[in-house]
Amino acid sequence: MEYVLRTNAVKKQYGKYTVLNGLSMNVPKGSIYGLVGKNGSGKTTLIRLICGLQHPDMGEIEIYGVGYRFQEASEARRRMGAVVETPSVYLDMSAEDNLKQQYRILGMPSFDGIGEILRLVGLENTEKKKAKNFSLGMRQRLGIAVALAGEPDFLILDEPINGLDPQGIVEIRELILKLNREKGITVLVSSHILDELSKIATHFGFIDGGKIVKELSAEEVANACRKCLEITVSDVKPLIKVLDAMNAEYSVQSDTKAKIFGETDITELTLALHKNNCNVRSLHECDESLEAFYIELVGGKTNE
Amino acid sequence: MIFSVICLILSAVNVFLIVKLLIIQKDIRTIGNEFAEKLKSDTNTVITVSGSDKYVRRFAADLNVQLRILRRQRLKYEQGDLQLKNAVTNISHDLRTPLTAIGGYLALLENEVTGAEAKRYIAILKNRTETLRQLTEELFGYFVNSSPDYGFPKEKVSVNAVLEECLVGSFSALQQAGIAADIKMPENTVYCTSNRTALTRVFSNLINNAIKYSDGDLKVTLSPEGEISFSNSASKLTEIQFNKLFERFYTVESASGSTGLGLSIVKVLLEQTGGTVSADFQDSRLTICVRLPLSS
Amino acid sequence: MNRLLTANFARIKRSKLFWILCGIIFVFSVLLLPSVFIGRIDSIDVAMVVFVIPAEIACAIFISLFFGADYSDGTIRNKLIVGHSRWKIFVANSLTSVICALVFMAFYVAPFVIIGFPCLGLPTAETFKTLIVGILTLFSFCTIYTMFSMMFENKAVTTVINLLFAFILLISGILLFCFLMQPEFIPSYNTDGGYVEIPNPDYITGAARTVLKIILNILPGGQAIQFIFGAVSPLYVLPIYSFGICALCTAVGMMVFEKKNIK
Repeated sequence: MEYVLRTNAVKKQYGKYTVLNGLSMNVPKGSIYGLVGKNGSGKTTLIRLICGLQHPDMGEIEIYGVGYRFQEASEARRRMGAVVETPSVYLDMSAEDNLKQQYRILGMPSFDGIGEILRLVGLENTEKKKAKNFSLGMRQRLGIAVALAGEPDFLILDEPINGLDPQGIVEIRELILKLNREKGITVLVSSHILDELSKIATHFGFIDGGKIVKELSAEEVANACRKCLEITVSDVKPLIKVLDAMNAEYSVQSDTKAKIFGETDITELTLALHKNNCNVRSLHECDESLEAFYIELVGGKTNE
Repeated sequence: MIFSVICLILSAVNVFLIVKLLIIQKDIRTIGNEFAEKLKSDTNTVITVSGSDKYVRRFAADLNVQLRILRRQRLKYEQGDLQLKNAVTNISHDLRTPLTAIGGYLALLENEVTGAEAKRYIAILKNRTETLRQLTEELFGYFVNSSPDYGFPKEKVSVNAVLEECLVGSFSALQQAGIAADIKMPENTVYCTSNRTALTRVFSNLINNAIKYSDGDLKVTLSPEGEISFSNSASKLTEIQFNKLFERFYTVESASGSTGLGLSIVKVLLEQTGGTVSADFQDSRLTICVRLPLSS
Repeated sequence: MNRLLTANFARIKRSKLFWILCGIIFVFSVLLLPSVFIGRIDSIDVAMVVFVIPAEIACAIFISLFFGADYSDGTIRNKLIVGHSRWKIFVANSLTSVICALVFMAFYVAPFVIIGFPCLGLPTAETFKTLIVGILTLFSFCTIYTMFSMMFENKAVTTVINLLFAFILLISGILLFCFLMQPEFIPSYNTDGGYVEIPNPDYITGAARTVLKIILNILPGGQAIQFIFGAVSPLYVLPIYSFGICALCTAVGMMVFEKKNIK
């Protein structure tokens, strides 16, 4: 398994405030890695460290197998592109000029590829419009275009759907998938919106309190998200009695609704309920949502 | 006065041209290196230059165009390869089910039928079905093993035990083919780092190979250094055929019951579990030698 | 580093501010010429050596805003993310600012070359020497400005600091110069009604004088004043100090920038 990025016990402190506390993560090549964490959990700081904007106080960061302290790491960074927090674009220049500027910084021998990149992110019709006149969504897309200028193998997107309208969110999602599938680009996406990530991520890293609490592949997450039965009955009390007798794990939603986790023998359940004069109104299977899984993982309250 | 000014200007021009030349030379060298680099590695990135000579830039840009085309083709190939592997895996899976069913029902039928002629037909049917089943297994096994992520976990294996198992398992087949097996194993157990399942497969394949193609003998030797050799006389084997033994799909005889994948599967399995295989052909005698790393 | 330089120059070319500043300097210089013609300014030499002052003010403004934009727009990240090392970025910026200074100077000198020389004759060799030394003074101004603009992320703060520095350096140069230019003796009258020279109480002597001299030479502003009003120390000493300041500022700037946490 080849890893594009590995971090090991990375620590970062600002004054007395420890943001990252021994964080280790592994991003496999070719994956779409979703970095999930609530606001303030250290996602952006981690990304800044990965991008070389700041140095860790302790720990190792390896990009394409090269430790960040070495000269070869700069060459490895050539294969990276990133949008950190806000898109880095010159506000007094047009989209095309911004890309030209990035091309110069990279040393690209010609400006041939600019048209294609603009088409890819959907900014081909902006002509001479200056970036300061762009909408937030357009600026985000320009930021991604600049990150793509060097034809990277590894793309880092820090909260790319922040402040986008639903149309924009769909477009970004499609773009990430396209880049991953058609160009083999490994993508690291950080977000606090699990729903979106769950649609595209192949791997997850859950960050909380400055550490990666768990790192899983999408398959493992799907398996871990428990299946449950949502059952609506005439009265919850006999249901509880029956479930306790069956040693089932459950959670009561209301006077008539409950969720039963784990494998349940439905025949046994309904017969027992019938014996206890409890009618089953409806019964359907549902998957524990990624959100619930995450909340349980980080132990408790939501912040959203 | 004029003279010195002219001198000054000329020497300035001189310096400028020399610097420009040096920059161009450096750039050309860089382009050469980067080009070789990009061809070797699996990357989207293309050649970049630091000088500003427009001809050098055009040159690099043209190379980049070709690099991009190559990259696109490579990605397409990899995707296609993956799709092919998935498709074949699925198909072999799908083939298994009806074949197993056919075998099962044939067994039932055998018990129901009474006539000698009918019993003979059923025996042949069973035989052919079994062959078909083995072929699907080999096909499935080949594609699965070829994908790098199959992951045979490495472990400490007692080679003696595995070899014995395989030989015992093939005992009846060896007898039927009229092959006298000469087996030499050291007293002490030889432990190597490999994978039990893979090694079993390797030995079975090699033994089956010998059964199919040997003139009538088979010499199996296990050395304390982790070398296992399978040697048999193969008078019908030619030099050309020998050279192609490990190639995918190559088969010495187009005999029924042979896909020829056996030896190339052996090679792939050993590669993935840290072993090597080599073959030697002298005086009409074929020797296949498997080397495994000793466990410390 | 060539790539960074190319990128910077491309941005400068399209920067309206840059060309406006160039234009202002050009016009300023053009407006000086008539004064030379009518004799209000002694000679073309005097007019020319003033060049440091408009150039360094323009530099202060332009450098702060130009490099500050890299911070405010966040585009410095683009350079770091693709692997350019910090010292290369710093040095490229320093070189860029130095080239800007040269361009500003060229715009100042241009009217003199085009109109002045043919009409008023060539300036003295001394003036040419002063020009060359003055270029180095300008460089030391630039490295100071570059250092500050790379140290602070706020464009506005940097502009204020650089302009303050520009003026403080000039003013302190003037003050020091005035202190040092006090004549050793001043005329006075004694009780007899005769004219005699007595030592000037304001004349600074000894160690203090040496120290002040050195400071005057170190301060780029002091150097600029010396160009205009006459050197306190021999001319060849000044480049050494300029060079020292350039080296110091570049070193300090690079060190600070290397460790800086960038958002």
